[in-house]
Amino acid sequence: MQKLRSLLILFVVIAVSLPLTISAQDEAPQIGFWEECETPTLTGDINLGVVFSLTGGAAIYGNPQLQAVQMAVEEINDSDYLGEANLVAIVEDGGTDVETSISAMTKLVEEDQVPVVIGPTLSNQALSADPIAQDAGVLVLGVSNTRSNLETDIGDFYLRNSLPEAKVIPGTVAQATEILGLENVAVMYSDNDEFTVSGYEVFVEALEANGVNIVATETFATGDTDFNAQLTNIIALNPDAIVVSALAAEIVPLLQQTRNLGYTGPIIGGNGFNTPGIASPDTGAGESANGVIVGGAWNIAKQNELSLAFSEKYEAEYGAAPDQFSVQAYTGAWMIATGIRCADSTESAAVRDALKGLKDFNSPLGSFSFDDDGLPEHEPVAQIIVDGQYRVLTSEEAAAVFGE
Amino acid sequence: MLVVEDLQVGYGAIIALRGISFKVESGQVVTLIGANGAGKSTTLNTLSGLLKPRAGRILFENVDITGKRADVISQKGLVQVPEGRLIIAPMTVQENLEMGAYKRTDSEINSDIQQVFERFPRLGERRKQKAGSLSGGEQQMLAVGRALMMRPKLIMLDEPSMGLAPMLVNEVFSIIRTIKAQGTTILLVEQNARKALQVADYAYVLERGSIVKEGSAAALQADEEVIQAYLG
Amino acid sequence: MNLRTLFYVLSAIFLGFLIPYLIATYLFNKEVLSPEQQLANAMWRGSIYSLFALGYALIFSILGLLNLAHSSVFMWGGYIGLMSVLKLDMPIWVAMPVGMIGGGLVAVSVDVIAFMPLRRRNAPRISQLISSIGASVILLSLATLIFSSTPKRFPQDSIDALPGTADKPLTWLLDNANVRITPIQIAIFVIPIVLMFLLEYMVNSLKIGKAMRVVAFNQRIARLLSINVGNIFAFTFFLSGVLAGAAGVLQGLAFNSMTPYMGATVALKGLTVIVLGGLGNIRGAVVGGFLVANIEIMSIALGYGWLSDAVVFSSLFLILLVRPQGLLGESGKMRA
Ligand SMILES: Nc1ncnc2c1ncn2[C@@H]1O[C@H](COP(=O)(O)OP(=O)(O)OP(=O)(O)O)[C@@H](O)[C@H]1O
Ligand SMILES: [Mg+2]
Repeated sequence: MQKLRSLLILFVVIAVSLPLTISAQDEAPQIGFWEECETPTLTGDINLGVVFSLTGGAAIYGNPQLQAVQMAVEEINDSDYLGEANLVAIVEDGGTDVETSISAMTKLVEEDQVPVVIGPTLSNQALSADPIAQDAGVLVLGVSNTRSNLETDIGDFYLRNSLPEAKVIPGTVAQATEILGLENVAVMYSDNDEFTVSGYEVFVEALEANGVNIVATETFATGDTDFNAQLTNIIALNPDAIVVSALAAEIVPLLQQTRNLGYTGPIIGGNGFNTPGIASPDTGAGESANGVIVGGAWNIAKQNELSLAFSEKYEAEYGAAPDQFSVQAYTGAWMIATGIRCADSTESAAVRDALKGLKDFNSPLGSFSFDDDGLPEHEPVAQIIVDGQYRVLTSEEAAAVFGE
Repeated sequence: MLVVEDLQVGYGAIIALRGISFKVESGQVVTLIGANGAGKSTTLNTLSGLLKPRAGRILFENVDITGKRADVISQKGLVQVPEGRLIIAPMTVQENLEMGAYKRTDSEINSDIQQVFERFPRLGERRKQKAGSLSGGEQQMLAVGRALMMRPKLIMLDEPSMGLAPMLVNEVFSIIRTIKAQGTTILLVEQNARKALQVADYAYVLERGSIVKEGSAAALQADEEVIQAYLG
Repeated sequence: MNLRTLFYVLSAIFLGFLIPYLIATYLFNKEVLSPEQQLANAMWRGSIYSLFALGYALIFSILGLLNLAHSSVFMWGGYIGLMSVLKLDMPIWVAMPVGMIGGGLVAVSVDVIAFMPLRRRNAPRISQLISSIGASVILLSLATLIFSSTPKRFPQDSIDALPGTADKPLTWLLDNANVRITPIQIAIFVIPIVLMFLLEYMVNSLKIGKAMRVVAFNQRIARLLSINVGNIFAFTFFLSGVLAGAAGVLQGLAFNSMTPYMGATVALKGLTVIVLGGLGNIRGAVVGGFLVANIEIMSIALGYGWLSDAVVFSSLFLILLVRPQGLLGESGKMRA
């Protein structure tokens, strides 16, 4: 059933994208290192392993990711970016759990012997499944893993284009400080979770770097639902913003209670806030989410030619606006192709070295580079939730929500 | 009214009743006498349905009630006043009596309570008092009064005189006489065989789980062996 | 009788909130920001803890047994209420009783599946305890399967639809007291108190309540008085489930987040509450619930939020040192 559907989607993709790409051929902005690297001498099929969460709770991220990768593969093949050679995606469902992603990765590495894998969707899946590729010397490019230290925990065959929190938060805090004129903020975080604690630490560092005062720090535990007491402490100090590092399950009640207690100011969140459901009136915090500020890798309103072109084409093909995850996946597939092109090889190690050396790669995410530690780098977008929508944070948007 | 046939009861490996048979005729006072551990309480508890027999049959008003649930049996009018005056200590005297009428829906509950208070004036004086604070004799009266609230057809009393001062013992037995006079059948279990035989019409002697003797109360009072063992 | 409960609740607030507040402010010069609001916060939390613990206490007093599946009944009650709103479009004041009755029925099935067979065989208490843990795990797995583990919540419009809020802002600001209270929070405070009074009334004054007390005191006597003990057990489980269901729905409404694991956090709190209040003591459960909540909120208000669990358990040890039977505990018998 799943296979049949992907096949059908693939078919539609081909049918729709053929005329589109041809017509787009001679237009100005073009993703890829067309000039920087020569067209490779490779021939035949090059297998690309794809593992995304196509089922389970994370399928809301995984399915757009797959669509975006398939779109990129079509473009790469149709434009002869890899010369005579053809990129062939071998798709496996990584589920939403760790076990499924491990068996998917094992199949791709051992049975299909792919040189490169894109995925899996979740950080903890990467942490468990990617070592299989690492041991076999197969390159994995993560496109949605945001947990910090994955590079050191997995090994040198792991790269990602998704910014870890440590890379998103400083940029977000800097932009928010400037636009909102923050001076005193209160910080709240869940102190029994690895991710939220590391998010908290990054926040503190970024706030200090921007000269923002932390007037109060409150903690809670993952699984808590009542934050009224902590919020009461914080709100009494009248901070310019409340900075929160929490997981999605705690965020919704926290937002609701913050607003119920009469606080109307900005709430700056970590990666946990990057879940579309947060502002949903049914399952999320609804109106209470307005005024949430969260950094993201990408926003649909990002004014960048490649980004606009991508959004337009994606929407035309799939009937829905793209999200951050699909943009990252699309860019990831193009990055892998660029690694192969520049290395003129399908050897995992050679592709990796070429990829790792990527600097100023023009993409819908903006200008992308790997830094000296092999960590992804591009300008994050500070976003603000307005009427349930993630918008790019500007003084106009801020004024619309907070007055002034 | 009550017919017991070949009743056998045990606790695990211990056999407490080894097939006993006896009868209680309507309107009579029948007593079951025996030494400690003879199986008297076991008999009453089995009749009440608190214990399940291994064999045998119990007929109450010609209906087989063997193995029926205790609450069903007591509702049929076969009521036990258990050994050790099991009153409901944390409830008041009045509440204890009301609980006796738990299953009753008629309108005479309050007048029945009044009757109990008339019969036992000391309970009436202490109606609002917690039952646990009553003296031993008062507790026994309360236990009997509560059983009467159930409007029993056959009331089974398990050692009502146990642990009471001689004066109170006499009082208990006079109560038994009045209950009998009002037409309620009584199965009386006693260690105080002398007193028991004085009020009873008929008697059975229980020894280590078996009935070893039976006869009219008058006959047993004259029986040499009984005098030796229980009245001496 | 009922006034006395109120008195006890007030003492819990006094003990858990006012005394630490006064000590902190006047002895240690530690400022508590918006103490009025914190007191209000403690009230919501306390009423949910109390309501939850009441069911525990009820079953403990009748069966002398901890029903460790109580937290799962709480979660199921909450979800049944939630599903009535989400799937059946019921207004919240219908969904609430539906959740309560649902909780009651789930609790009865726990009795039938986990306790009854063991009771029939006169199994030792410890195996009944283990059996209730088993029932809890099964209920949790079922819920995860049916409702999934992603957090859910009552939709905002179902909350807004409550009387008095339709065209008013979400928040009522009591100007003088500087306390923010939503109508939901008022309901959360009032409903448990009403339920507690009803329960007290039932146990003290109604025939069935008295029968429950007799069963709690001595099952043999109860049987001899024509009380169907099995029915009383079932009824007690039903009642405890109704209370747990109410607590589950209110918890969901109050804090806007429900997962199948919502029982796990409360489970331990509930045990603490009934041990503190006196095992199996109904009024003790109420007092304990408010006390624990007040201690927790006060420790957060004083800036020791990360220590709040430690503070609660230290208080528990201290109180048990002075009163091993718990605050209002006597001999583990049911008192109301
Ligand atoms: N719950 C029990 N478990 C095991 N054995 C029991 C139990 N109850 C009674 N027995 C035994 O059964 C036998 C009969 O006991 P029962 O209580 O019927 O005697 P009884 O005639 O009422 O004695 P008493 O005059 O002391 O009340 C005794 O040997 C007693 O030890
Ligand atoms: Mg006896």
